[in-house]
Amino acid sequence: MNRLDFHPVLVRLPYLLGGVWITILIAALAFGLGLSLAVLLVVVRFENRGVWRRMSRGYSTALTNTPQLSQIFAVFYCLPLMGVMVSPFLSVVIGMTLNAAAYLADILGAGMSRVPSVYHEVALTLGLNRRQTYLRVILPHVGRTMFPALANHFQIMILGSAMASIFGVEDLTGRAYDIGSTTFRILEVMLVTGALYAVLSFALAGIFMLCRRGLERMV
Amino acid sequence: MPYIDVRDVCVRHGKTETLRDVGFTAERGEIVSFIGPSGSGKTTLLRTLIGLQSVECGRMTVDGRMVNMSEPGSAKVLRAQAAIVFQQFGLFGHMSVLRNLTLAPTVVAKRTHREAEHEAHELLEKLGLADKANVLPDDLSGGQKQRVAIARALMLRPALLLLDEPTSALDPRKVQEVSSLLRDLARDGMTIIQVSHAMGVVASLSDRIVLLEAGHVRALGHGRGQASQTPDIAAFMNTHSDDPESGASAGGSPQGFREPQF
Amino acid sequence: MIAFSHYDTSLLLQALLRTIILSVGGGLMGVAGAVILTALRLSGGKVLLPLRLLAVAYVQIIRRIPFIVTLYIVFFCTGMAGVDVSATVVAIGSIGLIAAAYLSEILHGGILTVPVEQVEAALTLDLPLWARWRYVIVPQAMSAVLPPAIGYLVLFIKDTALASQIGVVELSQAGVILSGRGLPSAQVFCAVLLLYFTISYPLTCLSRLLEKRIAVH
Repeated sequence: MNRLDFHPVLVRLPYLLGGVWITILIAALAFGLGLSLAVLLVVVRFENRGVWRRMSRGYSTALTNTPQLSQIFAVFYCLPLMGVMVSPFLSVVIGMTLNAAAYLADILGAGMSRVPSVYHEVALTLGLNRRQTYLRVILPHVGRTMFPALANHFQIMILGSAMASIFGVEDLTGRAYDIGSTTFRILEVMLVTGALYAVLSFALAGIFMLCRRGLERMV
Repeated sequence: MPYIDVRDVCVRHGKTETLRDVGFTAERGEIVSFIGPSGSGKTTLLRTLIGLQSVECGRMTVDGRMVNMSEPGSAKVLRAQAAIVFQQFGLFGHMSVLRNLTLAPTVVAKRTHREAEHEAHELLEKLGLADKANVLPDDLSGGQKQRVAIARALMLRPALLLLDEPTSALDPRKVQEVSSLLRDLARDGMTIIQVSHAMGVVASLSDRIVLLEAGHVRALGHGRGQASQTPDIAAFMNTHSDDPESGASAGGSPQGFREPQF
Repeated sequence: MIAFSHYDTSLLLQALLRTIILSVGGGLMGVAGAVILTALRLSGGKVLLPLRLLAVAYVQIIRRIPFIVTLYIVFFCTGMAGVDVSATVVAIGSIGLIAAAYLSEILHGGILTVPVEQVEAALTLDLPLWARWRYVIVPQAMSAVLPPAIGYLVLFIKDTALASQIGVVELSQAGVILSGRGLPSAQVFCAVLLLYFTISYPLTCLSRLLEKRIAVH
């Protein structure tokens, strides 16, 4: 039986740590793009009573009930068939964006149904049009009330971004795998990587808590 | 010709007629009160005046201009001259008091932030809220919220101010303050229409009283101090002066007790 | 649509079965683990303090590590320890470890929703420990536990896709294999996604239904 030897891993720690930024970049990009798409989806869901609303609902149902990994695979294999050549990094970001939009639309939707109904009437009598009502009143309110759920989903996306390694992206897990295959110390490197993810997650939780406090005091 | 002339308002909810052939008039600078039992259609009537309630029929003349209330585009015309203070206030919780006030002037009327903020500060000072400009609405007492909601409506510079139960969240002292504020506004030429359960306030404040019952006008009273003497109205007000819904006569709602010490 | 050959179809169905085995096995292990973890977290006394802290730390940390990293750790741990188990068992074990942490969090939260007075009332009735749990705490906590627990089960099912990375031929891996054999990718992935959806969607509906039922009461 072998003994654990962390030395080869610790020597390569700076390289591994560099992967943290790529992990954050993937999650942040997909979250930002996904949130924009989710806003569109949820506005359609609340403003349209017909087929568009059903399509928006169907989108969320379809993508939240299938694995993100398969969705990324679908993007990875199907985009080239459509003649679109994209890097693995971009495939992962696109796949995660599509997935995030489905979940985030459900979160925003829950927030929308919690907006006091009088807000709509107040906005109407103040003379705001629909676009102004959404941009100035409804969405900021939803963002504030649903901040914990949105922050939580960002954490889930940080964990999910580890899938990027499967497609050869050099995120934290990807770099860990690289180090593992060159040093044959894969268990050690994965233990260190797990610890790094935990630290990152705790740090993000702290940052989000500060944001939330700031948000509550924001005027 | 009266400044405001409302005629033949009918509203239907499914099969039931919520309002039937309702009409009343008011001169510029008058205070009109809608009273009546719960479910008599007071709030519905108030909402028709600002186009929040679709009507089957109804006409409204304001300052000589006729609005056909059942026409699709009429809501815009009605809203251009009126502002409303809702019973639940509807202050936007994610914006400061100041931003609540300046939102519509800057976004809709396209006035500059500086100008709007200047006016808002003046208004807040007048209402005794000068130190609350940068506070979030959730940190205000019921009475303060009420006054902020009124201030927000006044920022629209309306000719007609509508209020739904303006004193229900207030303790007796604050009721006096809001009453005198409304009186001042009326003196400056603003026409004010309120729905109220607080009979004391109604009697002292109203130039006209509209008593609604089951969706139609039971009685109209006219003249400051005399409006409440009209027989039917006097009878209603006597039997309802202890109305638990009337926050003022019941001695203030629980919200009033959260008012910080002056 | 190009029809799959008999061989392709049987590969897909076997993979589907594998996915179900992973989910059910991991889920059951998770429930067992969650009960133990929660019991430790709710335990009193100084003797159990170290175990209590360990349980809290486990729940807090394991939920912050990506599933795929946990999977690698368990996989290479068993390899290093010289334990000869199949990749499927490793995957079930990993899912169980993670599920235990998530389900414990739900269970713990659900039990805390039972008002303290209820427990005190049960105490004044001289109900023994098992009866307090059987008749007072569990029935009331279940309403707060079941909907999110099923919701997480749906997440586990989808996470089983990652077991492909240690060589388990489950549903998503079957898709990759078939696609690699030259079958049209779009159709293969549609079939795979559809199969996942067929397992997952009824559970999502069940979770929502329970949530609504409880909201009504």
